[in-house]
Amino acid sequence: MPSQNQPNPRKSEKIRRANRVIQNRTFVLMLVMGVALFLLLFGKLFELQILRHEELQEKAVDQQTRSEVVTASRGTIYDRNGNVLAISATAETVFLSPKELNEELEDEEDPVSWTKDSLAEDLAKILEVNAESIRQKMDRTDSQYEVVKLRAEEAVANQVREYINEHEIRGIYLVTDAKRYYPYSTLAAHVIGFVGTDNQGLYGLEARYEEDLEGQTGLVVTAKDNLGNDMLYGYEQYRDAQNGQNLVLTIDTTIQYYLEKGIESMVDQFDAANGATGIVMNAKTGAVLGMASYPNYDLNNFSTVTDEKLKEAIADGSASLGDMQLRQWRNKALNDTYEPGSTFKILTLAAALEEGVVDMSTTANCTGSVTISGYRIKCSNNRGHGHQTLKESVGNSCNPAFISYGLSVGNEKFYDYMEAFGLMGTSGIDLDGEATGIFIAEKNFTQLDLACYAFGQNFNVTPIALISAQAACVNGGYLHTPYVVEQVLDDDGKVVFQQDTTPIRQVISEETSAQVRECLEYVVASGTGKNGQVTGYRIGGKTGTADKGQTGDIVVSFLCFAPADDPEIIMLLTMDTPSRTTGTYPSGGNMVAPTASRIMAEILPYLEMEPSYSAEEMLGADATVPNVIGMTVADAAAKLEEKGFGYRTVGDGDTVTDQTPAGSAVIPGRSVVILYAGEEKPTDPCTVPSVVGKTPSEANTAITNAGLLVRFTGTTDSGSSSIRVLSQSVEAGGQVEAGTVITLQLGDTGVTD
Amino acid sequence: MTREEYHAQKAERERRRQIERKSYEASKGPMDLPFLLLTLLLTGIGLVMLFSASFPSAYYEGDPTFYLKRQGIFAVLGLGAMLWLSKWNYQRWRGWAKILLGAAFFLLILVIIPGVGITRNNATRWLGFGGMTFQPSEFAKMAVIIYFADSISKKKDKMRNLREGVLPYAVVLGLLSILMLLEPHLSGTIIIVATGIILMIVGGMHPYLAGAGIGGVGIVAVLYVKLVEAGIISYGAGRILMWKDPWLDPGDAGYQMCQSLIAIGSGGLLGVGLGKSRQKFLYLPEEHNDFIFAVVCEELGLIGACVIILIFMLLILRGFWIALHARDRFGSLLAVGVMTQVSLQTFLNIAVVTGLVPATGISLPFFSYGGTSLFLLLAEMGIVLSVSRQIPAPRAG
Repeated sequence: MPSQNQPNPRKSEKIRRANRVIQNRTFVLMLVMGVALFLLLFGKLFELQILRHEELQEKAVDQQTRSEVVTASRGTIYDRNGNVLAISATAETVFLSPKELNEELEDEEDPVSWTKDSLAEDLAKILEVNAESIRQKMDRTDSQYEVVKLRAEEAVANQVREYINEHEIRGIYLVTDAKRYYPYSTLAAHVIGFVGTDNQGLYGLEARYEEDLEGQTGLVVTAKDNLGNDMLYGYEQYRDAQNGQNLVLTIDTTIQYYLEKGIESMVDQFDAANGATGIVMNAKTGAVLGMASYPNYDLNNFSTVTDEKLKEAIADGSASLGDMQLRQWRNKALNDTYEPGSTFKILTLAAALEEGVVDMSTTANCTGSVTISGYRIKCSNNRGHGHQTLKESVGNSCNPAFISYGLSVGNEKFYDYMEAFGLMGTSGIDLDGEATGIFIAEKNFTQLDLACYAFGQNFNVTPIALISAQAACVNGGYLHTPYVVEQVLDDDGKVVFQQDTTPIRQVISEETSAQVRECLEYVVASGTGKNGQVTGYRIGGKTGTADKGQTGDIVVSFLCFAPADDPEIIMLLTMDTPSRTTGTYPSGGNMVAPTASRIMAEILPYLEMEPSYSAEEMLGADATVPNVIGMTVADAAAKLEEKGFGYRTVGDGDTVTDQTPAGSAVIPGRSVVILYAGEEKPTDPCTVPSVVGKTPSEANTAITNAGLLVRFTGTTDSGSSSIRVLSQSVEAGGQVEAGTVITLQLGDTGVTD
Repeated sequence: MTREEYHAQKAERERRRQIERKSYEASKGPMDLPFLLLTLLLTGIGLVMLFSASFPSAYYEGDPTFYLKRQGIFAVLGLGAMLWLSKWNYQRWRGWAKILLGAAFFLLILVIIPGVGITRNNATRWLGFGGMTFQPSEFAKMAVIIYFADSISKKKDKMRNLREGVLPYAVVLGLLSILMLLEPHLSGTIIIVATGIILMIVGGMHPYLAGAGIGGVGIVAVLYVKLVEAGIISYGAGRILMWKDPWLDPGDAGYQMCQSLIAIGSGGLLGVGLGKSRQKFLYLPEEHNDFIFAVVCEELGLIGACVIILIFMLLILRGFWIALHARDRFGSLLAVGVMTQVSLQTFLNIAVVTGLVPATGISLPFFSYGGTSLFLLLAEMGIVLSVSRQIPAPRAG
């Protein structure tokens, strides 16, 4: 250490000591100030930058980035012909900021051309909402977001925009949103389902295929400064919005329309308390072409209860709106189970034939009832069907016969068949909320249970599970999983999913299936299913009437398929709790089969299945009227007779001056064409007479006398004395042009299932 | 006058001339190169980081290089002052010591006279002239170091004595503290008082007194924190609580602390890259000032931050090395004072930014924006360099 070269040794000692103290303390201080303190900092930095790095970085990213959502367009739902069933379109939600409106009003420097009242009224007019409710929203002056109209259509939104610009209003805003449209409103409502306010599927396919339909919301993440502006060199990340995938259904809107029309008229006619359901399916693949449930609703206003019965229940206070909404949203084809009754005999028949315990030559004797385990079970025909062949027992829907078939199959085998037909689980259809059938456990399955099961009583199934099993009975034995979505297409139309139609299993042999078909064709041709006949087509079917507990209420149903020898189409209609006071004997054959016939008569030609008429039918088959005006009466008569028409001349002239019906009209063959020779054709309209309930010949006379033409459809079995007109295409009292064809549906009113 | 007297006088004059010549010659010695280079390095890095940190604020204010330019000018002036002072014989400061202290008192009184000082953020700490502002407390720091070094170096072992070695300094520090707390300027007070006490201890204060003093301060500090936590004292309670857990109120009272921790933490090991801090985009307040080190940590990561701390450590160690080797007690105490101040400020600044100690506004030497502060800092470096010039060459052999 430097010394200052002091001469005084005592002083020098003091100085040295002072210097030494300074030096030692400086050295210690150096270690503290230069090392120790900073070691603390290293420790702290390590903690923050390594140990807590992820936690803090997350916080950093959270605050430094703003993500903006780019909405994806929800997928479209098409029917099998490409008709749009559900589609998303741009819509705009209109909202107002009462706070800003207030500030505008209070700004004295910049007077406004509107008042709250005028604004509310004008907006109400444009948006078609209640002005009072808008006015109330404006008074919530501490709010900045009050929705005036959710998802207004673009045209309406543009009007609002114009209005805003015209009056220079700040405080009313529009945000783009998507709105779901269902062009067919009520059609196939239960299959398609609907989306909620957040565009998320709530029911039906919209819910089931939510993941495919919704698409992937896009995201733009941008680094922003604390004021929300983009950072100078901030990073951006994009995730493109991916539009939802599109569904192509197996549903055919035309078939669906025929089905719904038929069911609605049936429900109306018989005043069914619990609605009805119908399924039209491809018998060979399980593809559902139509599925209807009644009561139904408008998908575009899904929360509005439209059914009169349900509305009444709400009005008289016996049910809440919520309950009735849930009721109208239920797809009865698969959400509910029912006791099938006699249509189930198809499965009993198939099992018995397959097991070889019966064959086509088996006969059964029916005395009107049979006693099993001490219980007397009655047949629908109390006097008994007497001796019957197998076919006749099916045609008669004879309970004792089927009990004996079931018993001969045996408990274990019979239960196995129900399992093999897929009744014990769900059918697996690609729709939500499918119910499972209700059966007695196998270990408790008694002889009496078997007897009841054999004719379809004492257990519950869903219509969809039942029709799938019935399809297997008639299509060669193959059980298919029913489905409504044929394909899923991506945004570019590429197929990303194709429904697999491989059968689950073959339950019965081709031969057995053919025998079942033969029996079921007999049911429609000559048995309880007569009313299900469709002129020109071979139809197989089975009726069903089941008691609903001890209440006396029933569920009536009809299963039919066509062509009977090689089924393409299978249809199951059920109606829950029809009124017993409509004058029609309550049974599936009387109440449901005629509707089935009407629907099939429309579906089959639509599916380009050619009708094949018998010789007798051929005469009555439709033909085109030739134009004979200007011909001589003799030539005209010859021409008409050649085509199979009759004729009647009015007037004494030689030349035909007019004719009814006019040329090229399509009318039933054998009809009479009126030729006017010199006489003026009357222009007065004809009044349609009432012919429902009349015999075919009575009806024919009445219609012809009224100057109209007749076409009969439905049951053609003229042997039965109980054939009556069930319905007429133009209501009694209707005014129509002379020569109009009135279609009369014939049916057997004495059918018991 | 006798001949002996004459000779004695002549000898005395000759001796003094020799001393002066030696001193003069000593002041012509080489300055300490490592210390100079470390200073230049920190000044350079400091400017780069200031530019990076201040860029967004400056950009939003219209001129991205606004802060860089101003700080650059002061850096150049400061470096000039440093080189000039390094050549100045530091012994001459002895004559200036009392004058500087007097000037410090004068300026500190001036600044608290209503209407004279400039008030920012409820604190009246600045004097302004010609568009420039200047903190008397910065000047006071330097004045205290020079005055204490001069006074203590003369007292030798009288420093052990309470009346001689403690009371006069305690009075000076007490008066300065009162003036500065009137501004108020707590952080400046802490630095000045701490530097003063450390100079007294190093200068030879009795070990018992030193121990009692340090212990007393420690006990008071701990007691204060405990009392605040117990809710008995409310003054400064917010700071203490926010220091304990800034996330209690991340939007308001804890905002700055949270933003600082987020910046540091998101830097990770390697940092987001020089210039790429996101926190400086209006999230982190005081980002080019007291919290510039958070931006450093975010951009350069743990590695970069540690390297910069290491450079600080090297500078401080080298400064103390100069103190240990200084030619006399005055030089030694000057270097100790300057390096203690740099060390305390650096430590406290980083400790605040990282949440190690409760927040107070202490700037980071060489980095934080502030012209006079940088200028005076560099001037002090010049003083240390001038001390280094007079280090006697090691004896040969």
